[in-house]
Amino acid sequence: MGKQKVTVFTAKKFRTMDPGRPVVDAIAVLDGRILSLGSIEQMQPWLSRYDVTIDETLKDKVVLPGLIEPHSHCWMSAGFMAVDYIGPLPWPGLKGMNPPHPHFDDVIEYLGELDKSKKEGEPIIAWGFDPANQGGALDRDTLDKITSTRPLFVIGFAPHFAYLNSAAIEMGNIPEDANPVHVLRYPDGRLNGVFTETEGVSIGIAPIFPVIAELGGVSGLKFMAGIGQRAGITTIADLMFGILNFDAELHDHLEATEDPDLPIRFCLKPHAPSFNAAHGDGAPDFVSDLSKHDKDNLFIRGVKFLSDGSFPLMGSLVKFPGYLDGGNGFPNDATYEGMLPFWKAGHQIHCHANGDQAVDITLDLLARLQAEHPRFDHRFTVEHYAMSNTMQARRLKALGGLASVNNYFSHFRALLHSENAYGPDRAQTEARLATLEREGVIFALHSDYPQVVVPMHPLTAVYAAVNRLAEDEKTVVAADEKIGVERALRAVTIDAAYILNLENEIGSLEQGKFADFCVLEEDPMEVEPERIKDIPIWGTVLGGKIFEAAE
Amino acid sequence: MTEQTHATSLCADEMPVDPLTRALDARQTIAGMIFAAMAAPRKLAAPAKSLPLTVIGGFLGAGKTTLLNHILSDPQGRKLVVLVNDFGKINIDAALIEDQTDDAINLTNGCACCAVSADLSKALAEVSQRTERPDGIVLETSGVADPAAIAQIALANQSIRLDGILTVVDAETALACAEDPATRSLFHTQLRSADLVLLSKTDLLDQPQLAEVREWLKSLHSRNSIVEAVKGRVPTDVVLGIHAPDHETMPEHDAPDHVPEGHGFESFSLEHDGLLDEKKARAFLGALPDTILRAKGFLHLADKPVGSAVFQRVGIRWSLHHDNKHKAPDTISRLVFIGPKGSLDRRALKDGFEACFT
Repeated sequence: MGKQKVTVFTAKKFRTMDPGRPVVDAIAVLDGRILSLGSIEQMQPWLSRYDVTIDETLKDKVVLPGLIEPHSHCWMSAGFMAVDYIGPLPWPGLKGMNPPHPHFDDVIEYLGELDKSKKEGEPIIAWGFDPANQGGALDRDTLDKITSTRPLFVIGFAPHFAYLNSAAIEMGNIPEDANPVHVLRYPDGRLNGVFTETEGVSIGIAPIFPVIAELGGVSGLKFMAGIGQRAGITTIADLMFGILNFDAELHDHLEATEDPDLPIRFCLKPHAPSFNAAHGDGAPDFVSDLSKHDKDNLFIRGVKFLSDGSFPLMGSLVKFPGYLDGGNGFPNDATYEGMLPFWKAGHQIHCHANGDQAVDITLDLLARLQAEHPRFDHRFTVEHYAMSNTMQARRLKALGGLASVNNYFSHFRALLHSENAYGPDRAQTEARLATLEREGVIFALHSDYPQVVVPMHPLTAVYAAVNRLAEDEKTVVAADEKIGVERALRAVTIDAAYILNLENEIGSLEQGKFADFCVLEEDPMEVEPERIKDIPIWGTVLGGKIFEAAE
Repeated sequence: MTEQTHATSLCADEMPVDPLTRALDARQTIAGMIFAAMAAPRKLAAPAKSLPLTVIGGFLGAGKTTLLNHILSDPQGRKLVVLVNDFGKINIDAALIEDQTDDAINLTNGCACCAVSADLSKALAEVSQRTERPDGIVLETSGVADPAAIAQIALANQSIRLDGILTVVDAETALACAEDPATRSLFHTQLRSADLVLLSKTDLLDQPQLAEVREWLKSLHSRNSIVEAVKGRVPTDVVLGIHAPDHETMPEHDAPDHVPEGHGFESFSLEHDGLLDEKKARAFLGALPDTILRAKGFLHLADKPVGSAVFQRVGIRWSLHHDNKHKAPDTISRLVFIGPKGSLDRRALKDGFEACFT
């Protein structure tokens, strides 16, 4: 029998995130896992036993463990990739901020560009036309001038209107006798491609739903994996698994992870209330049983609950004195009765809590669970932990909990929410990372991409954590909540792995773990902290396989 | 009508809304539609547009739950699935309950009531996949939702057709809601969405106050038809449409009024043997008086001899769809109307209908 093959990667520097051996020159990989670390000389007792290839592709790069996105929503959001944006305001999209299209002429020009860039026959679904702001009017003949052969669907910014070209009209099965108030016609009786109000819009855009479902699904997951890979990510967790369409979600993840070119490992966290609804008392066992699908690039473990609404959609539950306008957010699906069976069955629980009142609700739930059935190393994680007070961190520590923090908001929305909803105190102390550090709570950083208006880009989270610069990139918010670069890097590598219960597989470069790397052009520990988010990302390595970032 | 004039007529009702709220609302609706597409079963069990959906909107406390309790207790032969926002407040006579879980009640009358949480699309997907197809779906929205946006999301499920949107308005607090800066824009949004406005708690006002509210509501949105109710007591045929799946179940011409007495409504049915001229029929149906709240008909059109045409009306919105597969037992065309008591001009309706025949 021939010797097994080992690849030794060299780099300018491997930052291992192993505090006992923080920097090495080379890493040997056997079967996708790390065989040895150090210098090539030190590794000889291993290398002499294998058929060794030295790979110098990364020799000028700085390598970190593959970055981890511990809270996102790839599957449910992949359908967004079917939709292009043509609205008047800058708008968050899958590839970052979409530029605004201030005038009608810009809309027409952009639709023309889309027509040139799309594959043959692929429909254009564009959302955001706002004649009150952009001017102009769309109808079938106008859209046919852009293309009459490729189906073109335009949906109004507030979707009370839809506008279709001839090819799109043909895709639909528009009833001849549709009410002329909702399905408009030219004076000669021809459909003019304008569909109004709920009834008309639903007739007009009926053909797009299968397209959205098709472009989501497996190809959507691969698309999202590509976005992560270009940000240096090698593992993405989905914190809402099973909420929309369990069978389709499971099927699509199983199929996508069969592709050897998929650059991402997926970790799925079942949304517990959905499973409680579907399986009643049997839900904890059903979820446990899902781990039978686990493989090297797919892990199903832990469950998710929610205790309030969205931060950017202004649904967070806060304590005294409420929102600036006297309002407040709303409670969500987290209940003691819902959690207890999962807790007793030994599952890890993640609970979404944005506002400080929601954090209290969540901590009270954890305290009740602990009183009823004490557990060690349970890794109950407060997800988002956006607005908190200092003593909540102490209580979280006392109860043995962890935090997965969306700290992107301190950079992207601190000033916006100083004046909208939350007010300056809460908006500017968003993500109290230094408090968590002082109290000894283990935490991760996440984006929640793309459900909230921030990119999935862990180096931006690190940048936000160490600088606390608001969206104007000048104002420093709650400077004493800054943390150091190393701690912030841990929060997107080993500590994120710990929160996903995957610290034995990923998160640091140590013997026996997957050879997952984030490959950078510069060292985040050495560049000026304000530049961390701009460090060029060369690509990633997943289980020893190189994925150079495509343009 | 051109697109521009139509847009203007909508915008005239538009209340100023701050751009951030407007953007967030728009995003939520479009996201809801996308999620609905993702949540839809990849194989639909129910035929396209086969499940009528009635959306019930209105502020918290307006009387939505009272109305739902009434409908569930007296569905008049319909097997309904009612999706409610505030499950805790559903209050059904224990004798009617067949079985009950934390978030669903099955009734002995064949109806079911389920709590709908954040994932509306999934709840609708489940209803549309049931082996025993319901006669209708009733969806209660949250007090802060725009019912039209919710309906738009629901319609991403291809087996659902929108029957109508009913917004419940509390007669006692309506004026205050429309003035208060915190609720103003939502109030008008909910009203603008409605095919029917149900003015509730009218017993809490004296006659002059009630008359004032009535006039004011009419002046706000000419598109709305207004129904008044005390303790949710409205005939189910008004809320959910006339329950007649085919010719044979249409109320008999000489039968007593189809809607029960005592609610302040009347119904009137017509039948005539022969074939209608479609153009004349559309002109007649499109010009029916605004006082007609609900109407339904099965018509035989002269130039479409196979099948028959189904006419439906809610408020002033109506449709006439011809269905080749719709089997008719005879050549009689039938129509039934519901309106407030004393509002139906039977003579004019009869003459108008008969003039449509070739």
